[in-house]
Amino acid sequence: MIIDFVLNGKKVRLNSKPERRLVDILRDRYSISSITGDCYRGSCGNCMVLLQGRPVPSCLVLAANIRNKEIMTLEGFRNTDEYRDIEGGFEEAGVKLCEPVKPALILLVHDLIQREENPEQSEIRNIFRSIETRCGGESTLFRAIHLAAYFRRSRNGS
Amino acid sequence: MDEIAYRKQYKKKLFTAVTVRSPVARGRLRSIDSGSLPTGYRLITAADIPGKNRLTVFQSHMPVLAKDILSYRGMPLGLLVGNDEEELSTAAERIHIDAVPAEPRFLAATPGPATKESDYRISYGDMDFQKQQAVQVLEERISTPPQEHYYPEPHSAFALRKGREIEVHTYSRWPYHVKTTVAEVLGINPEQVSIQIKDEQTVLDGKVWSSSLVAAHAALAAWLTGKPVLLRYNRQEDFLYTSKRAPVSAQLRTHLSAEGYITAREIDISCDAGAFPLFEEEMLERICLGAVGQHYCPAMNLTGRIVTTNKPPMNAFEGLGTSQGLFISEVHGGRAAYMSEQDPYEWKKRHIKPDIEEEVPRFYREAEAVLPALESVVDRSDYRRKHAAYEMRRKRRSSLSKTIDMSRGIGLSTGYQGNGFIGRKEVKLSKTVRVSMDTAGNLSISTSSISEALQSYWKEMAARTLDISPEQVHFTSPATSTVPDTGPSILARNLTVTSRLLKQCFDAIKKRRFREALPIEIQRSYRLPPKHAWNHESFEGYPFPQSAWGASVVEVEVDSISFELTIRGIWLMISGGVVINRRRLVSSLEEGIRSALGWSYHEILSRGKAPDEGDWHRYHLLPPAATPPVYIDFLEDGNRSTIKGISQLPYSTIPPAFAVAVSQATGLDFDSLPITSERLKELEESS
Amino acid sequence: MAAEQRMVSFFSPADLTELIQLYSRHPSAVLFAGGTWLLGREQKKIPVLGEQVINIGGIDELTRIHRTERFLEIGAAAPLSLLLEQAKRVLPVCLYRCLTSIGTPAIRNLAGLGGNLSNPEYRMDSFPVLFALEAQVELIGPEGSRRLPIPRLIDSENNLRLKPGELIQRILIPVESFTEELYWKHEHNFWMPETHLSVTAVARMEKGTISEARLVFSAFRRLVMRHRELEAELVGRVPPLSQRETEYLYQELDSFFQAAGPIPRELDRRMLILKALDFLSNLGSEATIPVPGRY
Ligand SMILES: Cc1cc2nc3c(=O)[nH]c(=O)nc-3n(C[C@H](O)[C@H](O)[C@H](O)COP(=O)(O)OP(=O)(O)OC[C@H]3O[C@@H](n4cnc5c(N)ncnc54)[C@H](O)[C@@H]3O)c2cc1C
Repeated sequence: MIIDFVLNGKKVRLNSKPERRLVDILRDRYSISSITGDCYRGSCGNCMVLLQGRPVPSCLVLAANIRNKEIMTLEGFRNTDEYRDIEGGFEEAGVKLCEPVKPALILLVHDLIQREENPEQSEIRNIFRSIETRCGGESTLFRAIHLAAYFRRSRNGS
Repeated sequence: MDEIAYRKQYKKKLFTAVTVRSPVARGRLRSIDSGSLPTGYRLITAADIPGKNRLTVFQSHMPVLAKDILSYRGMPLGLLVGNDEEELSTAAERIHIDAVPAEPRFLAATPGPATKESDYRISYGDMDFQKQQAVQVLEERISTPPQEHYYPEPHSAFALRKGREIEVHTYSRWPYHVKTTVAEVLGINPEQVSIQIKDEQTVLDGKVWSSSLVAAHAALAAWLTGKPVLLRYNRQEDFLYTSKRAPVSAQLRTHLSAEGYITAREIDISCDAGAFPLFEEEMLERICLGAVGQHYCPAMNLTGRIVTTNKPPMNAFEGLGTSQGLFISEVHGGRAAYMSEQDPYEWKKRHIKPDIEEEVPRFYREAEAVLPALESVVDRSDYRRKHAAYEMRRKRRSSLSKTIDMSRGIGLSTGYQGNGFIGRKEVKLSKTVRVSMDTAGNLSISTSSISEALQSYWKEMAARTLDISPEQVHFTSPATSTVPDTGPSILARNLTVTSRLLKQCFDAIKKRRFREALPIEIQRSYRLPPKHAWNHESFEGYPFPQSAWGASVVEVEVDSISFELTIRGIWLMISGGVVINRRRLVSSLEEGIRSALGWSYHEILSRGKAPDEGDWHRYHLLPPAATPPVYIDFLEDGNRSTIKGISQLPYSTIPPAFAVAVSQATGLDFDSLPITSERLKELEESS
Repeated sequence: MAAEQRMVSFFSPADLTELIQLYSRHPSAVLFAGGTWLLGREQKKIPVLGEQVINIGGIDELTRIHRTERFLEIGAAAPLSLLLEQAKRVLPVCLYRCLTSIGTPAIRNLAGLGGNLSNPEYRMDSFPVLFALEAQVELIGPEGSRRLPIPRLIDSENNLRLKPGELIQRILIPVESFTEELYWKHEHNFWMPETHLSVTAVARMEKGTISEARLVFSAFRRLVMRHRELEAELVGRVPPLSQRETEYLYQELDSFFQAAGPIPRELDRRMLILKALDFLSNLGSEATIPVPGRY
């Protein structure tokens, strides 16, 4: 099956079995290394990507679902100003993230502060439900996310 | 592991290995038949191993691939190697394993074949006399469940054969153990093996030997096929078949005087090590010492043993057993205080620092160091007032009522973290570091201790001692070909052993650098201080090279209808040497608290059967921020220069405080973890 | 081997008409909406879904959310997050609470109500809530469309009552306002349905008396129970309920659960009953009248 889609801003054409999971396609065909296919049940968060701008676990998306859609992985997101807000927040707070949870946390934080300029604790807590990890202490994580929101607001001039 | 980088580098030449596993929990392997394989593919079995088919930790072994005896479901018995993942999984499905099953044994509580050399005994005091002083006896069984490590990444290894030599990349806390294992399995000289280690950025006492097995598999496949081989478990495979925190079960009898003092204790402990006990000596001793705990007791009889069952190895976890042991002694202590109708805080204090004439064994005397943390945590959490108030409410309530109500409880617990191996085991380990200064005054540090977290501390220590800039300090990349063996980076040895050795090197360079021409190279090895003596049977001396102390309070609320548990507050007070990076330390303690709470009420792992997919479905971690903010603070312990390992303290102090709190809230007694609302319902229904 | 030869026909119809044609030609095909259930429980690297799969996720007619005077109309494949964001102000409180408890934010970016209602094995979370709200499903198939009240979507054997080639197009929720709403769910985690219990309750008060009350209970993601006679008996009562009333209701519900479920464990029954009684007793006691859009 031939599938056209946009990956990190570039139009690409894929020939794949329709029932292959997006996580494997991204890793095997496009050498996307930020994500891993760890749990295949949508709970660990290690394969998070943006699908049409919204975070989804790419293990629950099939090749057939991405036709004419936009996919952004952490690799692509790294080149944006939005990423720098979050990176800044994480650095300032001194968060040391384990590599595998990075895509989930960064993309979920982006999605949150995109929707809520000044997210509440409960909303932040909510995004943690999309990841499964023993890494990351909550005090630094909360601080990092509030800082990221602050950087985003400052950049947007509000 | 950067799998994609390997794929990019080796393209179609990169081979992948899949582990072929035993379908039965116990039995005999008759044959493995791969059918016809695609060209170039190969099934490797025990018969192909050129060296010894074993992985050794101290004096214990397990086979690298099962030959005929199958000891747990999922036990590796072959490696299927090929270069196309899809073809490989199809070929793996086709493999036919002929095994004769036998009746498996899953529970350690029933007596069974104990590994003799691991039996452990502590005995002191006049048992008969002390028993006579007692007016009541508290007898109970308390056990602790297994726990999954849930490493940031599942186990993986990459191996590359270069003629007569082999290079292996993996995550491990003990690079030289990987090296010796690979050499032994391939039947080659250790000089022919080089290991490159990756840092996973978290404390992982569990990966102390399990990475060596995966590395040996990858190395074996690369050695026999001549191809670069990548072996990577998926999360489910890692969950089902790699080692877990060892479950423990203890039978306790505590004799109490009329005033509520412990006069004597009899403890019998079994630790379920799964199919292969490795590291069992250290583990068992730590469990037993934890079960002795910090409450003074004039006479003690303790027996402990390791029991094997037909489950995957149950083994090292943060602290190698201290948390299991302390859970047992703290929960039991809480119950003893309750039985003697005393305020748990007062009871605890009187047992930690007994007001008596006769000589108290040093093990208990050292524990007095926990008192400042205890007092401080009680203060901060307003423990005494809350405890009294909840106790009053509890007495008024007959059982959980028929109206919607919240009941509250608060629990208190103390604990320690013994840094470094217990006495004699440290002697068996290599522990060497090397530091050199070049002509430009740049310093290069070589150690196999993996700790990104400590590197900046060591850098600063070097810069301060030698009056150079931290930018001039470098670390040699952690490969066994370039760094000396500093032993396993577990049990906070990086702090106790490595830090001390580095300090000695820096001091030596400082002395010599202006007297001798540069470059200078210094190598130092650790020797046990002579005063360090410990005899467990007579309970004399002190087991740990160094200890840190902690006390916790946990406050809970239980919905009397749904039995839903809410944590209202957590306080942790630590007395453990100097604090170098407070924010980072707090963050890592919070990680520990989350895992400890997961073990206490969230993570469900059955232990009475072979692992299956249902276990994997049910097992979930507690998400970050599922509990309220935690109050953590550090006390000066007067020793301004020592830094100590404290990361285990949440594991050792939070679960018992939690269990005691839920007991107060519900009036129910627990004999195990996790305490889920489901478990509360069962207990209530049967009470 | 089966694994090698497996060939899957995967259809991605462009619109509803094409979908209906395709589905009536392949009535045994698997409908793939958000795919979160289909792929989440199937943990193989290459999922085994069926020989024919029809992707309905991207079909415009199935993702629209629309409000008329009488109904809130929700496309079966509209992602839950879209629904929560677009219809936040008009969603009934109990439904909002239920939806925010489903999966995780990332799962809700894919999952929809259609997939939630038409699970072949389990009665998923929105089922009892939509039942309490007396919502309807609009089905579409080769013979045109028809509407069914939620409970009629399943038969007495707990199987879906969809005809060959028929699927859920929309979910229609009547626009109504209630004085008080409750959604309460209890489970250890989603993958342990044996621990699942929920209570949905809505009620209307007039001058201090109950003018309407609906109570829907679910257990183990298998049983969904509503006691209509009891609901009728509640009308005209004045909260807070007296001791005698409460005891009567307790007994009534308890025997109902023993018979209807059955729910064997007393504590499970007690949990459901007390949550409902608590709701009824507190009716009108405080000025906690829910305002749509504020949760
Ligand atoms: C990590 C995780 C957590 C979850 N937590 C929850 C939870 O808390 N509560 C809960 O209820 N569910 C939960 N789920 C299950 C699932 O996500 C939801 O039930 C979701 O609503 C399913 O919707 P979907 O669009 O993804 O359905 P799909 O997976 O696409 O389909 C589900 C079933 O419905 C059928 N179907 C789909 N659309 C239609 C239609 N329009 N007409 C007829 N049949 C149709 C499909 O053929 C399939 O049999 C969870 C899943 C995961 C992976």
